Amino acid sequence: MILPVWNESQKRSALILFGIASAGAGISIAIGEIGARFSKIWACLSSFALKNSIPTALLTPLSMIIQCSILIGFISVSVMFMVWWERKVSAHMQNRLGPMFTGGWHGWAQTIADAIKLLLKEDIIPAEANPWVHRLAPIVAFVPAFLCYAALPFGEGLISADLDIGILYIFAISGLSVLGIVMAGWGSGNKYSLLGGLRAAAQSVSYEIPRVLSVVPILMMVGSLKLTSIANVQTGFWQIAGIPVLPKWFIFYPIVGQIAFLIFLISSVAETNRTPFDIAEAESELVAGFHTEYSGMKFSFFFLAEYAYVFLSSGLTTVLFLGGGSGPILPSWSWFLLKSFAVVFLFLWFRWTFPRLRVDRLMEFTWKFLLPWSFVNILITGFILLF
Amino acid sequence: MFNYFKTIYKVGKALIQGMMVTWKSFWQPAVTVQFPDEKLNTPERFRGALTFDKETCTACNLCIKACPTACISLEPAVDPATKKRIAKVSWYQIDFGKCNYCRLCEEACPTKPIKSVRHTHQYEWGMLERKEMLVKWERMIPSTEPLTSTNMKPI
Amino acid sequence: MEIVFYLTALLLLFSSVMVVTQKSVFTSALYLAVALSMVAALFVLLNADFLAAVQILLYVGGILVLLAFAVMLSSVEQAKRETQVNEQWLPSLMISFGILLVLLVSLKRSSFLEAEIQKNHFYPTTEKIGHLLLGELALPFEVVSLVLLASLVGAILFSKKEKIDG
Repeated sequence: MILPVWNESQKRSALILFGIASAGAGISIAIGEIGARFSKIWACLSSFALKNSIPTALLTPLSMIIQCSILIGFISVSVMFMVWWERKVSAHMQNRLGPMFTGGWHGWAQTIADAIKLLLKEDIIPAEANPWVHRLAPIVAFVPAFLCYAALPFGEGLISADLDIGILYIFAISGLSVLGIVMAGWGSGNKYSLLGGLRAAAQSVSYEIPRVLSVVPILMMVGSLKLTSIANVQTGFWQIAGIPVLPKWFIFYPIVGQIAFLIFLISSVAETNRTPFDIAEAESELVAGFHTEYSGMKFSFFFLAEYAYVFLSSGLTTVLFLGGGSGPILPSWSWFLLKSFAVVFLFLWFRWTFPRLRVDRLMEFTWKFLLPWSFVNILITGFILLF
Repeated sequence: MFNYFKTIYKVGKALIQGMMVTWKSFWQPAVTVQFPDEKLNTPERFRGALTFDKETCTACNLCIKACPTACISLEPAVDPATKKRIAKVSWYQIDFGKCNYCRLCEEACPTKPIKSVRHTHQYEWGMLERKEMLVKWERMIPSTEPLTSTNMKPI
Repeated sequence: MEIVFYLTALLLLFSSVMVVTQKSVFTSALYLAVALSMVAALFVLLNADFLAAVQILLYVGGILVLLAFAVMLSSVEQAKRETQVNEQWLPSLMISFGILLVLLVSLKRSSFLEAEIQKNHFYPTTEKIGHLLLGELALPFEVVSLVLLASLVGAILFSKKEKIDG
């Protein structure tokens, strides 16, 4: 790669970015493992409750409420960051600058301003719409996205429900939000929305299958559906003569890992309705697809759901293929966030590089290419495990 | 079979090539100009808003004849002593709602060395009402005092 | 736990009734989604985590979305004109009551082993199900997969039929 000539302001920006990165690394080392700290705080709280004879029946709901609030806070902050980041990345990929004004430094407060604007906007229900379906659709689209985060391990001990069926749970629940999109498409009383809903239904049902099947090789190797045990298997390094060569991440398993990773990544992009596969909202053909008739808070719920799914998919990719929170020096949660946001960057990169697929090509691609290859992958894994 | 894998290889290569294009332009400096803070230099012969010099104008009407949209109007000054027209302008008005910035008036203007009606490099000019587009320069008849314009906007 | 069960059951019954009685096809599809999710909730209450996840993954996320896909293509106006019941409503009602009776009697007679269902103790079932499916129940499992394969091939045959004729 040819390094471009940077002028003074760009050098300054690069220095600022480097400063932010090193400050973040320093802070995360200083904080250490959040999971251990949380459990210490929780132990303090429960001993306090025991001393003051507060019933333990209150404690469990309290811990649930605390976990939910942490997750909601994390989702909204990360979504805000990702929207800003997407705008900046897209701008720079097109040699633009993107938002530069709001908040001073490179428009960092742009999404906050946008969120306030969306909150203040008028809420419109079209005359042709079915009001209840129209009202419920954004909720049905968003709530599953939030539920999925419960089983996502953010690092060591940072998981609110370490389910034994973790990965299956996430796939099952995330499949529910298509229903929200279909409801939005049907309930808006608009032909573009209806077309968007139809496309979303067909697409997500088709891409769900290779997405689940691409994970099967990992499950076969690990022998568990539990996300934490999948992440734990991938710690450590492969060594040649005592020298660590490659981390034991699943993506570095020969052949199987790479095929599974590619299939999972492609179908994740498709499941989140992002650009090479965004036929459900296709701005240039369907206005905005299923959310044409939505405004204000309801629209922002769809937006929130989309970006929450982007981060969820990236987090899943990290846990399944990139070793979860394993890594040197930095604590596990910051490794997890780093890797996840690297995958989010990959998502953005795809979005701003590839043109949209045609509907029939899209279906052909999943049924005639991804699905057979994921079966082949399972077969190869079986052979590897046999011999 | 061989062709199948060849197609996969070709498509994969093309996708990666496309991603490298965006990756390269991601690191290139942006071409955008942050407008209110930094401005581009306009070209030498840029036709911005018209400006008018009340003192040098001879009220010859050539610009009015040259103007294709008839946006210029003027009235020559009259000497109060002799009641005769003099080669000065009493008022001069340009309707910027009609003006199409064609430079024909500037080319027609006979004053030397600087044309009395000429284009500036000014392009940041917004108006809220149609009335404001009528810009008028007035010349006081006993022209001893400094000249003032009633309706003129700083250009 | 009891209250949760009764709430779930009530919601399940209500939405099942709504599926049948709603005039709009799409609304009844949505009620069907609620009903199927509630079945998953019942599985969760019975400590069958794997079954619950599969229920949601296949029924709500897969089949119901396909159903909604088909329903969205159907005409709303036509559905409004058609009646809810056809001329065979009386025999079908009687058959349903018969099935209900049989179920109630069998419920009365059978005794559920309390020890099998460990209350308030959540333990994974995935491994057990895996061992069952590929051990004891291998033959039925394979037979079911054969049936599925046959239906898949049949579906392909039906969709290809026009080309063979033409």
